[in-house]
Amino acid sequence: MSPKLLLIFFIILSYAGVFFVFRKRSLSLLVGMEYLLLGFLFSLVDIEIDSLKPLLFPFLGWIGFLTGSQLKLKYVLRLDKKFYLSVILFTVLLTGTITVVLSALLSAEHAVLIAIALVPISYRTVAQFITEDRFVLFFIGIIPFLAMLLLLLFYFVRLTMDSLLLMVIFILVFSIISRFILTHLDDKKSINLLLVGLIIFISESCAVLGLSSLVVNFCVGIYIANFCPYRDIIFSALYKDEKQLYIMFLLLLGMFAGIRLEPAVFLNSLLIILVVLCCKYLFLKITYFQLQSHHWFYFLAPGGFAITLATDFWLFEGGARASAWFSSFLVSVISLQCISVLMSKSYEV
Amino acid sequence: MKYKISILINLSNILLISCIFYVISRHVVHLPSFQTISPYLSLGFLIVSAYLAGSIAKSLGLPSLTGYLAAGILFGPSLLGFISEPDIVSLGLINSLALSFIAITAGGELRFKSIKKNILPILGITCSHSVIIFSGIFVVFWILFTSTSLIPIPDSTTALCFALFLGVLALANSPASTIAIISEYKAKGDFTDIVLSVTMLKDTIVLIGFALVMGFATGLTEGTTFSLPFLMQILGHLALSCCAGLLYGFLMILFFKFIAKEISIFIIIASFIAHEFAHFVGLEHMLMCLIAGITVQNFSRQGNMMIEAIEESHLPIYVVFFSIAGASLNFSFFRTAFLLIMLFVIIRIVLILASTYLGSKLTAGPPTVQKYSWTGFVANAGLALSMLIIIDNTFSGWGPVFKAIVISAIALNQILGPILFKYGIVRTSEVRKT
Repeated sequence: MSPKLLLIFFIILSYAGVFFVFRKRSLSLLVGMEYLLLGFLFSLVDIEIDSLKPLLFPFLGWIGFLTGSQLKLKYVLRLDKKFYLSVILFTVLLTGTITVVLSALLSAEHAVLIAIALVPISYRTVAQFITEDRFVLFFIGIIPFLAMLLLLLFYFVRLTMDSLLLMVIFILVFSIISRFILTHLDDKKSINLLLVGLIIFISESCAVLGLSSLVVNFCVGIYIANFCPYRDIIFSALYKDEKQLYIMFLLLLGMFAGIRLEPAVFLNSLLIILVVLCCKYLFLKITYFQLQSHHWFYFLAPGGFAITLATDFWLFEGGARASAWFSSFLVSVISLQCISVLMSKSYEV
Repeated sequence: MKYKISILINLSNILLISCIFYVISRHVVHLPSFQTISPYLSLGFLIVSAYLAGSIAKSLGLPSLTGYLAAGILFGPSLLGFISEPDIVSLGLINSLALSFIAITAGGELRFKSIKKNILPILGITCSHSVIIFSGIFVVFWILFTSTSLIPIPDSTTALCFALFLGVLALANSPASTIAIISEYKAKGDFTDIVLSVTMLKDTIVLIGFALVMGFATGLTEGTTFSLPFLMQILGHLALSCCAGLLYGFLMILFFKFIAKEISIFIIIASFIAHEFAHFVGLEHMLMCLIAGITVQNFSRQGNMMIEAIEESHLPIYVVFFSIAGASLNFSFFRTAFLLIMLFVIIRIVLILASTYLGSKLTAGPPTVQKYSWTGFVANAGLALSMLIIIDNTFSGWGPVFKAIVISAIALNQILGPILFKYGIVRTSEVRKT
């Protein structure tokens, strides 16, 4: 059977499978991880889909653009400095601590990256249990932006001077052009189409030039959010399809990345989980961050954004199928998500 | 003045984005050719540039479709070469999806009520087209090929095959263009219904006619005889496609009735599955999707739900489909066979005009239909292009020359067709959106 037809068949099967297995049993708090699992399952089927791998870049680009387009500087500058300091300290110190411990297990590069990726806390999971504490929700909502900035810093250190210059130039050029094109729209209804075209173009350009599609689109998104007159329309057009986007992204990622079924991978995952559990427990108990009033396991789930951050680097490295570090990372994320959801649910009951 | 500024801005946007694409593909990474770049980069570039070109066309009072096609032609392999031929082949998946989507849309637009109301003009125009256009083109070009040296044709058998295939190809239309224009201007009325119904009906006739001529031409060149079982095989194949379409349509109705969620996404996935399935079992996917669309529209109450969902998601499909279609048009033979191409285009238009007038006059069609409906039958692309590929593959001696010449003629028809059709629907006042 045609691989394309099989791919579509898998997608339909996933939707149906998730509905009957997870949703009917009210196990929907895995925020998309079930699609990643199904992707792993389908990756075991021997079909040739590598030609479709470049499709992952626009997905990353879309998520980057969406994240960036939420960052409006005029609101950010209005916030309390104390609050900033506590979020920044939480993110940076937690990342640093996890990095130091993980360096004993993995290469320094992968340790830093996994630490950056595991610091964000799934907003959707937390919002299911904590509904009224605005401070906590806002605190969690800011962390992904800081993680993105840390990733940007990570690339700045890792890239050569030429690549860095190229990245800065392209961020500037794409930002100005996107703003110019999106400002002179004839028909506001067609904004979706233009956004799709621009994001595919920017993301694939980054892939060709060896730049991070997530980071470049994030920066373009920030520029659009602050300097484009149609920023609100753009944001709602992007946000409208967020759920579908994550579902497709996780499913495709599972299929393309696959998983290495080796004891070493699972041992590494176990150690990563333990490190994250210990570090997060310690940090969440510090009174300065004002998160200790809620149970710490609410904050364990890293969510889909964590996977996005690591995927960007995995693709940046060449996107090898069943890569050891990436498999360990994905297993850890799924496990942390499950631990968080199950413990939170049992606590609620 | 406002339009002039809008055109200038869009032009400068196209120029900017082209410069970036050029720099990325040629200079920065020093790639040996465009072939090593992901086709999705070309896709992103095509979407943005085609959309902007569509806006320019709109500002000039032309259909957006003309702009999409123009962007494809400009950046395609035959002019600037920004989009390479391997890219077009790689994007074939999106193209085939779009074709099935368009066929479902076309089927969804065909309502038995309106067909019944205009059944006589529809049949009259279809019959007169089938007879006059086919025989007119065949006779004129057979005489031209045998008595003049317009193009070097080795023998009378080849001349006969050439003329026969030209006759069939002249009859073909472009349902995709027709649907795109109707959707863009939200046209509704007798004129629109008649043009759409005749286009669909004619495409079925073209499929049968092409299979018959193909059998005849193969028999002539290989020395075999044309047989009745062969004809039965073709008709059986078409009937099977219709049955599959009917079944598929009922499956779609079940979805609309019991699930009815994410309908736009469902229609896109359904189009894709239909294409892949038809390809897998060897059925006519356009016919299958068309029948599926007709089934949903006429055998359920969910027809309007389907059309509304299609209207939500049609723009990206049209932009991608027509810009890729533009990029795949080849003008390389335009200079060498200029006279022949121009003759074919002009004679075809004259025959369309005459046969449409005759067909609608004899069946007492509405005056607007008699006067303007010919404008809806000029465009021809999708079906004619796929038939050309079959001719090219079957007749290795003269097939490639024939394909190269006719593609240039199709390109001209495809540029002229949408402009004329837009003129037609404006003149008949069936436009609901300006």
